[in-house]
Parts: sequence; C-alpha cells; structure tokens
Amino acid sequence: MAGDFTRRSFIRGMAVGALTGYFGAAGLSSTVFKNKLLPAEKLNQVDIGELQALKIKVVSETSWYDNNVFLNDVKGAGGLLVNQYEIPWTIEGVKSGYKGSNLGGFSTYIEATLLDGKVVKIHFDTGWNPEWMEKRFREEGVAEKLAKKEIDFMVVSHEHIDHFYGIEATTKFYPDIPIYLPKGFYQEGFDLLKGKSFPKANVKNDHPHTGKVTVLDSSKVNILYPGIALMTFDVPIILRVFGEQSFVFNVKDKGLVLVTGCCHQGVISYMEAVRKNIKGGEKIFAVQGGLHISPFEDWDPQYDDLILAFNKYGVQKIGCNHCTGFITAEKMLKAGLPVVKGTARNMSKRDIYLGNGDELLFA
Amino acid sequence: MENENDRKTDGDSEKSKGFGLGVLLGVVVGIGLFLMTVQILYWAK
Repeated sequence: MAGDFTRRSFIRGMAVGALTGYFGAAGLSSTVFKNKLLPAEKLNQVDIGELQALKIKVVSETSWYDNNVFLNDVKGAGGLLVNQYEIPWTIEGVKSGYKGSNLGGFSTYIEATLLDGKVVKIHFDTGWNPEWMEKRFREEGVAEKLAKKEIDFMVVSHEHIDHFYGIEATTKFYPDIPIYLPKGFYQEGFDLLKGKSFPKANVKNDHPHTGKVTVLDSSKVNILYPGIALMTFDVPIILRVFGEQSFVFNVKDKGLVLVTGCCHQGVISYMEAVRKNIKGGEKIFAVQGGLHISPFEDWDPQYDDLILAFNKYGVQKIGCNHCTGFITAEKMLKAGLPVVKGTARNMSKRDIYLGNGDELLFA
Repeated sequence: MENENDRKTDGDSEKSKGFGLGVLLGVVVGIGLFLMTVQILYWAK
C-alpha cells in the first residue's frame, strides 16, 4: 500500500517538477540571464571621420503638384509596377502645377566643411521638370556654381522620375560633372544620361553627360571624404526602379546627420543600418530629406511605429520634407518630435516642414 | 488505534518522500526539455 502511494506521489512530483523546471528555465533565461546567454551583437562599425560643419539647402522638394493627377497617370498606365519610362506623365493643364505641368522635382544642395577647412559642394539629385529645376537652380545659386564647376560631384539617390529625369537641367551647366549612381540603375537610365529621349514619358536630355560615372553598391560604407559617406541599399522600388543611396555625415560635436532623397529603404532600416555599420550610430543627431512614410497623405496605424523609432535613436532634429507627407509631420509634432518648420515659399505648400529654399545648418 | 495512527504517519512520510524525489527529478527533466526545445529551435532556424 505504502509503495503505491509513493509511486503515485513520485509521478505527481515529477509532473510538477518538470513544469516548474521547464517554465522556470524559460523565465530565467529570458530575464535574469538574458544578456549572459545571448551572444553579444556583432557590430561592424566604420569610422567615417568628422566634418567641421554642414549646410543643407532644399532646392526643390515639390516633386509634383497634384497627387490625383500623378496617381491617375500611374493608374492609367497600369499601376505602380509599370516601368516609369512607359508612363505618359501629365505636363499640361494642371492648375496647381508649374506653368500647367504637374512635374516638379527633388534636389538638395549640400556644403560640407572638412576639418582642414576645405568645403565640399554636393549636388544631390537633379529633379524632374527641367524648366522648373533650372529656375530653382538659378534662384538658389546652384546653376552658377555648376557653370563654374565649383560643385565637386552629383549624387543621384535613385532612378525615380522626380530625382533623375531633370538631368539636363544639371548637364546644361556642367556636362562633365562627376556622378555617383546607386547600383540598380536600368539601361534606360544610362541611356537618358547619354542623351536619349523617351517621348512616351515626356523625358529628354539635350545635354548628354560626358563626365565620370561611378556606380556604388551595398557591400560597404562608401566614404567619399572624411566625414562624408554614402550607404547604398538594394531595394526594389515602385515604377520598376531598384536601389537607393543616402548620405551619412558626421559633424564634430554634433553627431551623425543622415540626408536622404526618398528613403525607399525605410527610415528604420536606414537608421538601423547606420547603427550597425557606422561608428557613433547608436545616436543619430539629425535626419533630413524625404522619409517616404505617407507620400500620398494616407495613414495606417502601423506607421505609428515609424514615428516611435525616432525616439529610440535619439534623433534631435528632423528636417523632413518631400515624400514624408504632411500627415506624418503632423503626427511627429503631436508626438513631440523635433520637426524643423519651413517657410512655405517657392511653391512649397505648407510650413509644417522644410520647403523650397529652406536651409539647415550644423556647426 | 495506535497502530493505525502509526501506519498513517508512515504512509504520509512515504508519500511526501516520493513527491519530493519526483519534484527534484522533474525539475532536472524540465530544464533538460527546455534546453532541447531551444536546441531544436536553433537547428530549425
């Protein structure tokens, strides 16, 4: 009789013990011993050097003027996966457009002062509508600097219409400007650079590029000068485009300043890649440019995570614009994020973020 | 009556000894099962 009781008690004890052991081990390993048991994250941070100062001027962030016209062009051609060189973009009859054209463009002018005092002048993207872009280049003094070959090089963030199709507005003034492209450019892009026209898409280049073209890939952080680096991301993008590259500047006594064209790689992926690959990436001082969150002013509750991410990286200044979307800027401000306001000039619609002609200085 | 009480006491003692041994062995088995689960998940990854 005593033996039966012992066996039953033993089995009952085993069951209790096994459950306690299993869940106890799970609990301890995920809390108390978490850091001891998990392998330490291996970071491959590169020291990109430092800059004395950085000036960023928004030349044009208004890529198109009427969202509905733009979306109708895309829908009419077959949707977001259609080749951008095959879409007849609307260039007349748009009331809110520039001289009736819906096309604008994205371009930023950057001056980076190295520690030895040399100022590196960078032409970042060349917009879409050559007429509009030439006007803006002239108004902001970029055309003059291009003509005098004072600008060191041009970086094209990605092949999209509004960042690249206005190439002749640049090559008209400086045909042999050195250009950095991200890996993934299609043959049409290289052909447009060399002067080919694409009548269906209403794009042409009457001023073929004659200078050096460097294609950067994603295998490493590309350091152009001390404190100036480009990171390339292998991302498929709508309208049959592939790859985007964004800047990382390191300003002395401030920290890392990220400057992006459209950020199709995703703002979290971008900041995470910087954290893992660039020295000092745990804290990002500022982010500037298009963040591609709500370019068509739509919102999904999941986008809230993107806004929360800025706190995680300690971002102290957000100079967003372009494809970030007004609704995103509104939500960022509501969340207490440091969005820099603009002046709503030169056809930029609202002052909620940096607009055409606005400037950011880090020194 | 005395004998019966003595026998009950002996039974309880056996019962709790068996339970205690079971718990000890069970904890070891439980931790082992947990480690096996982790290992299988690691391999599956």
